[in-house]
Amino acid sequence: MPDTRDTSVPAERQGSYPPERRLALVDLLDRVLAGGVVLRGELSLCIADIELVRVSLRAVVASVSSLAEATTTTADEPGRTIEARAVREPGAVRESMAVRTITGETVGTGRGDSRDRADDDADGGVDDGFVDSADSADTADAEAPRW
Amino acid sequence: MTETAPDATCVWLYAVTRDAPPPEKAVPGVAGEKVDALQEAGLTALAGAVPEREFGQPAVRHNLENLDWLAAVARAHDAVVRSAIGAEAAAVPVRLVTLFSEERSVRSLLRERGADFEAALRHLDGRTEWGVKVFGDPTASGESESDDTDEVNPGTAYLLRRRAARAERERAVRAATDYGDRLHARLARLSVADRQHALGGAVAREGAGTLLLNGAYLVDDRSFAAFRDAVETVDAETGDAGVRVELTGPWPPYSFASVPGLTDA
Repeated sequence: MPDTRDTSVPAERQGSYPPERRLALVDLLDRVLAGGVVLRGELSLCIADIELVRVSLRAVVASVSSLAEATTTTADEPGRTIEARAVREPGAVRESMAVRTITGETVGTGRGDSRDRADDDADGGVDDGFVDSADSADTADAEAPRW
Repeated sequence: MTETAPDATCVWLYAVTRDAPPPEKAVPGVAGEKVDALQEAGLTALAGAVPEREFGQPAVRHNLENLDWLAAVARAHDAVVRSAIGAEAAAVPVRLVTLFSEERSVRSLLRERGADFEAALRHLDGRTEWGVKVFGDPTASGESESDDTDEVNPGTAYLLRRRAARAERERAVRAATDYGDRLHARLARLSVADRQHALGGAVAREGAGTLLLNGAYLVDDRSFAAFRDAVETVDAETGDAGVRVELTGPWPPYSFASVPGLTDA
């Protein structure tokens, strides 16, 4: 039985980025990919393409957040299972919301937006996309909370 | 998709601001290109001509899967967005990979959506995005010594201890999660808008502990001192509870760049 307190991750799972840089990168990617105003440029990826990119990015970000991967793969070890469950349960309640950011689903730790009250009340819906073409408006509206 | 000439370019959009002089310091764009300030209808779009063979389709989709490429592009995009934000100047950051075929398209966007951008800018004026993360240390309350295992055999005693320790840890995680919720509520009251990002990000740092809150807050610059105090005070209060609070920022308002009611036409 492994020491349940051992939550360290083998260095080889960490990928080529040092932890500090990876953390900063994930923070940044969280924001530039899931945030920012959404506009429809002619050459921007169309909705279907964005879906594909998002799928691909899950793989990319999974490699960034390798600790989460380690948590998953060692779920049979009690010490780690606890961490994984503790983080996943809230997100599981609203699984579809957990994909709001690309990293959310990858890492499987998305908490979702269920308590995003200020956005709805004070801010009038920050999640709403900013979409300038009719063909994407309905999709974007449906998609927006998940990004 | 039509075939593109090898040297064809498309236009990458970074941010939209009000009519303002171009940033003092020239910050290169995602392709190392010079970023132009396109002025139209009282607004300024920061945009750069980038090679279509790298940023157009289908290349960009492939490149997005390359972490090194993505990291470099994200950082360059962020740097340009930040250059547009001054003490008095708000900017609406544009999501990564927003590409137009030519400058003219960007200009017409500014004309057609001028009022929406104006509303977005007003919403962001004098406000800054800050990130707050709460990490719980699952090992903080570690082993709980149990005395009621004397009469069972060592193997069973071991398992009972393990189970007790696990239960204790679960309680600790739950308590820390509750703590994150309370802090979020408190910070939300001190901010103009707030949202919670996925909890995935910060697990990337070894030893950081479990991420319990990954909040983004749009804070009025005049209230920032109170906001920061709230973060730091609470952090001090819980110093020995295995909870660590981290303030990140200032960020361009990526998490709050939108306009109420715009999406539904």
